[in-house]
Amino acid sequence: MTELLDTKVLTQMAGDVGLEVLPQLISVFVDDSTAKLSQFRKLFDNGDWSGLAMEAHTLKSVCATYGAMRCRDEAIAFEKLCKAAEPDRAAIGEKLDSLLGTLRESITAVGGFTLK
Amino acid sequence: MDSFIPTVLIVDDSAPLRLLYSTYLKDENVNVYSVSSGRDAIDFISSHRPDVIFLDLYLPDISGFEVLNYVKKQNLDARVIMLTGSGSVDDAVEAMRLGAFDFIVKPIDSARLRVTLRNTTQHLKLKQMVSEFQTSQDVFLGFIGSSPAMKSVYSTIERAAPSSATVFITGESGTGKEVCAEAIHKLSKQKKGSFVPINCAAIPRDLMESELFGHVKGAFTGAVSDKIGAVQRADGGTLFLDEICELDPQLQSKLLRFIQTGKFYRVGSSKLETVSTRIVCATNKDPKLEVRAHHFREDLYYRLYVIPIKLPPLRDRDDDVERIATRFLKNFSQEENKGFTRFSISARQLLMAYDWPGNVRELQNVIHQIVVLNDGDEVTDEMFPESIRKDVLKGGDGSSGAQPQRAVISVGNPYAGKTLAEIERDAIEKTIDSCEGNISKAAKMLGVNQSTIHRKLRSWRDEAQGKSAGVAESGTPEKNTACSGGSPRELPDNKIRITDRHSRRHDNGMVEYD
Ligand SMILES: Nc1ncnc2c1ncn2[C@@H]1O[C@H](COP(=O)(O)OP(=O)(O)O)[C@@H](O)[C@H]1O
Ligand SMILES: [Mg+2]
Repeated sequence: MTELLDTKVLTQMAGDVGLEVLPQLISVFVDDSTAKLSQFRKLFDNGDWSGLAMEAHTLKSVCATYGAMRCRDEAIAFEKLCKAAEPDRAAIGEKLDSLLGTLRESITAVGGFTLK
Repeated sequence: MDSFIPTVLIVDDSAPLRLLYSTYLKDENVNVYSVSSGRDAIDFISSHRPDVIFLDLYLPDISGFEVLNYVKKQNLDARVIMLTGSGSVDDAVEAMRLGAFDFIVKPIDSARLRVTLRNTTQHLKLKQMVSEFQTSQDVFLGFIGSSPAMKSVYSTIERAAPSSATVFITGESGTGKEVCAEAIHKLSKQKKGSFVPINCAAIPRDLMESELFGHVKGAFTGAVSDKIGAVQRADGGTLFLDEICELDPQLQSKLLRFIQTGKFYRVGSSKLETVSTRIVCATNKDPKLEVRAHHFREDLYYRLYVIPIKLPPLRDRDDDVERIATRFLKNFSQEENKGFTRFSISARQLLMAYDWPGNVRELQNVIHQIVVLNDGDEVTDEMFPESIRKDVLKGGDGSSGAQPQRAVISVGNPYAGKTLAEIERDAIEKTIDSCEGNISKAAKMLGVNQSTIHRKLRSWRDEAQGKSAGVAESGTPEKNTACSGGSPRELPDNKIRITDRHSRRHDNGMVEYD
């Protein structure tokens, strides 16, 4: 399994933007991702598969950018599932539980990141 | 060139990514904005005209392709850089095909984003430099414009200027005859001397001779001291005789003598004086017709009409209208402390559709008025004077013959003894004359369409040639063409009918064709 957080990505980001800006970037990631947790649930309850695919697509980029690699991988698989010709509600539901679990862990990991 | 600070728009539905990208660009010399949806992007693009757009392909409302399409359709200069996921390179290729400038595959790091931005702005700066260079090439000694019609004028000026031959400039009012005369002076051997313009129509007849040649003290009442005239001020330089056809016949002979000999007398003096000056003259009439009408001495005409330059009306100069308007807009904005930099698409259409009967001078006045009366950075069609908008809306054709006739004919009963057709013709011809041959202006004044006037002119011409069976039955068609017998009518616009047929118009008003 891919590691939850690739700290190299965040270290690089810190170098690029500067240490004083990094906490702000992280806090926006935390807030935005936390809001996504309920957003994903709502779309699933409405059976909005294309909306879910869209959100997964965005999540994929955001996670990749912030080093949340495991969550990125799950988002990729989840997007595919939602884009299937005949989406399978049960399979999607199962993957969603896992995806949101990983996202929650990622939020904690990114939020707790400090430069060594 | 360093003053150019590009505006950058980031379009991405993810807040953390928008913030991150903006942060990556914070040390670049650009103004960065970001929006989260396709519609917001279009709103921003139409109001702010960004130079560079980083555009996410997947947006919650409309796709990035649609935003790209909008940019292309509106013909905007913005460079679009697509942001795509690693799995959607096909989309990126499609975007390039649709006109995107570049694409970046996510996840995007700082270096990649900045390098892409720099490449793009460098490209923009280069393009701006090129276009600035081109506009500087658009300018020729006070003239703005690079239409084929004007380029041929420029080359005539360049060829004519170094010689000492007299230049005769014709063209409708406001086409830049004085600009042309000055350009000739600046390129001439006598450029170190003065350029002395004198308007033969603006100076009262009895003062004109003294204006031209000067006078000595006591030459006439009011001549309290010696005065040198324009010819002397132009010694070693250029004398520009504007509206030459308005010069009094007596003075025409004196001018002819001066041109032939370079010698003249001041008013009230018997001392012959000599100067050396280049003569350039201009008129908005057709000088040949003025000669035929005996308003202008034929010998003087031949003496002056050595190198003719005809300035085309503004409406025949393609998109020079836009070039000149844009330059005026920038100049007046600076002068009036306003922020106008461009015309909206509808305003540009208006500029091109309108006839500009008063040519560059009218355009100049209109733009000045717009800048003074409005605020903002973009000129829209609503800011143009009502009259121009109406005129363009009315278009070239749809008849408006129902409008009241506005030509004023007064003095006693000028209609006595005339048929309605003769009165109509008289009114039309007088109006054309008063508009200095400008048919579109005359049509406007008469409340009819230009095409109506052209049709009538054509039918009178055919009539004079005996082509029209309908008129021939009256037996003496030529007589019908004479409207008031006696004073000759000038035929104002060489486009209409006369000059290309080598006709001659007699004092009795009859037209004869060679
Ligand atoms: N091609 C041009 N580019 C810029 N300004 C022009 C141009 N032609 C004319 N103008 C300006 O328009 C006005 C009228 O020009 P002018 O030479 O007096 O016209 P004319 O003598 O033919 O009536 C002047 O202010 C002149 O500077
Ligand atoms: Mg003039």
